[in-house]
Amino acid sequence: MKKLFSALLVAAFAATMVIAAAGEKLTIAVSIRSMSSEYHMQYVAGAEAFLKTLPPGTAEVQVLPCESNDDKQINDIKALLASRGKNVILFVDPNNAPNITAIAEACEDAGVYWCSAWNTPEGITPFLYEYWVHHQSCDGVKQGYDIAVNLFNSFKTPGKGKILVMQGMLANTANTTRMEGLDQALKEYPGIEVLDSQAGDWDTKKALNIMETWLARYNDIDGVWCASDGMALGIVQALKAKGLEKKVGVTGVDGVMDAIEAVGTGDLVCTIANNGWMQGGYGVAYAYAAYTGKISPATMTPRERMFYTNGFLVNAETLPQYRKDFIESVPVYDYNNLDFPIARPMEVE
Amino acid sequence: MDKHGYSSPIAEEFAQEMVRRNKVDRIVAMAPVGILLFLVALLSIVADGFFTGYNIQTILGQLSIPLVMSMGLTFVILLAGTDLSGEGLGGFVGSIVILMVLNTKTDLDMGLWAILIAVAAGLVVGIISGVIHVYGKMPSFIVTYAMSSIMAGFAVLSYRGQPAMSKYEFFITLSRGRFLGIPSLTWIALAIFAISYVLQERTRFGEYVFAIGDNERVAKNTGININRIKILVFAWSGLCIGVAGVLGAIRIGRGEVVIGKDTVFPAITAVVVGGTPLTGGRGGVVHSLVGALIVTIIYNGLILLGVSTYIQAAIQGVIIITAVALSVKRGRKVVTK
Repeated sequence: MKKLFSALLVAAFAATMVIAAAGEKLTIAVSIRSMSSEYHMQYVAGAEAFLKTLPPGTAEVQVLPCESNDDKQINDIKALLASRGKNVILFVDPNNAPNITAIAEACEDAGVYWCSAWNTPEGITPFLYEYWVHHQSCDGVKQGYDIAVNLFNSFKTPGKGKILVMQGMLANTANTTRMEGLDQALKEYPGIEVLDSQAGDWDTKKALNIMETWLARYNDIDGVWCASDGMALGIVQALKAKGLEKKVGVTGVDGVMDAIEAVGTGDLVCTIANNGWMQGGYGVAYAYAAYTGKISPATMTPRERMFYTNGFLVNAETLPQYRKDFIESVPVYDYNNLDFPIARPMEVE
Repeated sequence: MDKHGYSSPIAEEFAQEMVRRNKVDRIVAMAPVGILLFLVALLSIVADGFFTGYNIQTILGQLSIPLVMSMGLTFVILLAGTDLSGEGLGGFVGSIVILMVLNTKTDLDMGLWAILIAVAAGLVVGIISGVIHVYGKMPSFIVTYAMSSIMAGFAVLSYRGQPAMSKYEFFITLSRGRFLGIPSLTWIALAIFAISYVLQERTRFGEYVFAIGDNERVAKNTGININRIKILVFAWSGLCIGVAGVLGAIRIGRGEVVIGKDTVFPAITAVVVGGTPLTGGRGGVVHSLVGALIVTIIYNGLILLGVSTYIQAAIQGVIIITAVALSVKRGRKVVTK
C-alpha cells in the first residue's frame, strides 16, 4: 500500500512537471561572437525564420553574444541552463575551439540538445556526447576551389593566365582548407601560372601593401586569388591607385556587404557568402528535432552529425539572385528536410 | 699610492675618453645612412623590379605611415619613454574619420572638419596618456598600452562591426594623386617631418626634450617644467598617430580598427634603427627618417624577393634587437668610469 502510494505520488509529481514544462515556452538560444557582426546576426535571423515554423507562442529566440570573450560564452550558457532547465535548445558558434568541451559538458549534465558550427578541437566530436546533435562548418576546400575556377574562367583566354595568391593566416584552418581547394583547381588548370604567394594575415592593410609591391615587380597579372573579402578590398584599393581595377580579376570569400557591392561594380570577380541563415536555421532545427524526439543522436548517421555546408557563390551572374534571396528578404528553408544543408560529410579519424 | 696622484691622469683619461666617444658617436650617427645606402645597392642588384620608378613611388607611399608615426615616437623615445597607443588609437581615428566623411554607413558628410576632429581625437588621447603617465606616476609603456586597448574597443564600437567604406572624393584623389612623382600622402608625411624638425631644432621645446632625455634631474634643477614638456610630447605623439590614422584610412578607403594594426612596431624600429636609443637623450627626427626608409625598404625588398611575411616579421625583430643591443652597449660605456 505504501509502495503504491509512493508510486502514485511520484507519478503525480512527474505529471505536474510535464504539464508545467508543457506550459513553459521553449528557449531557442543562439550563442554568437557579437551582435555587431553582420555574419553572426544571420544565424539569429535563421533561427527566427525557423521559429516561425513552430506553433505560435510555444518558443522564443534568445541571443547570447559573448563579445569575443571565452568565459562569458560559457558562463552565459551555464546561467541559461540553470534557469531554464531542459526547456532549452542551443546553437553555438564557439568563440575559440577549446570552449566547446566546457559547453558540451554543461549541456550533457543539463540534458539539453545543441548544435555547433565552425570550431572544434581535433578529436572532440558529437559522437562522444549524447546531447550534442551535430557539428557543421563551411567547406573551405570547396570555397577555395570554386573561387579559383571562377577566376580562371574569367580570364581573356579562359583557363590560361598568371595569378598571385594572397593567403590568410598560415596554419589557420580556414586558410589551409581554402588553399587546398586552390591547389586542386591548379591541378585541373595547367594553363595557370602562380607568380607568387604571400600571407596577408586576413588584414586589409597588409594585403594592400603586398599588392602595391607586387605591382612593382609583375606587370602582366591576370588575377589575384585572395582568401578573404577583407584582403580583397585592400587589393582592389591598390589596383585602383594604378588604374588597374577590373583589368586584374580578384576573388574574395565571406560575402561581407562591401565585397558583394564590389562584385556589383566589377571590382571583384566573385566571393562566397557563408549563408549564416541556413547554418543558424538548421542548427536549431536539428536540436529541436532531437528535443521533440523526432530524431535521436544515438541513431543518426555520421554524415548527419558532422557535415559541411555550402555557401552561395556570388558573381556577376548570380548577384541579382543573391540580392533577391538574401538581401531583400530572409531566405526560408524547408526545416523538415534535415538533409538539405549537408554538402558532404566531415572526415573524422 | 697617494690618491692625489690620480687627479691628473684621470683628467687626461677623461679628455681622451671624450674624444674617443665623440668619434664613436659620429660613426654611429652615420651608420644608419650607410646601412640605407647598402640596402638600396644590394636590393637593386638582387631584387627584380626594386630600382624602378614605379617601385620608388611605391616605397615612398608605403613610407608615409611609418614616417608620421615615428615622428611622434621620436620625441617620446628621446625622453626615454615609449608610446604603444598607436595600434588602437590609429585604428580609432581611422575608423571615425571615415564615419564622418561621405561614406556608406552614416549621413554625416562633414568633409574637412572630419579630418580635424579625428586628428584632434588623437591629440586629446595623447594628452590623456601624458597626464596619466606624469601625474599617475605610471610607466609610459603600460599607460599607452592600456590606452591602445581602450581605443581599439571604441574603434569597433564606432562602426558596430561592419566598417564603412569611404565615398569621399577628396580622399580618393589623395590616395591616387601624385605631385612631382611623389604620392600625395607622402607629401603630407614629409610636412609632418618638416614640422617635427622645426620643433626639434628651432624651439625651446625641442631643446628641453633633449635635456630631459639626457638627464632628468639636471633638467629639473635648471628650472624646466618637466611635467609640462612630457605631456606636450605625448600630445604631439597622439597628434602624429591621429594623422597616421587618417592617412591609413585614406589608403585603404575603409574605416576599420585594422588601420592601426602593426604600425607601432615598425615605427619603434624606425626610431631605434635610425639611431635614437631607447634610453633617450640622443638622436632625433632626421635619424628616424633614415630609420623609416630602412624599415620600409626592407619590407618592400623582401616581398619583391618572394620571402614569406613571417620571415619578414622575424627579420624585423632581429633588426630591432641588434639596434637596441648596439645602443645599450654604447650607453654602458658612458656610465662606466
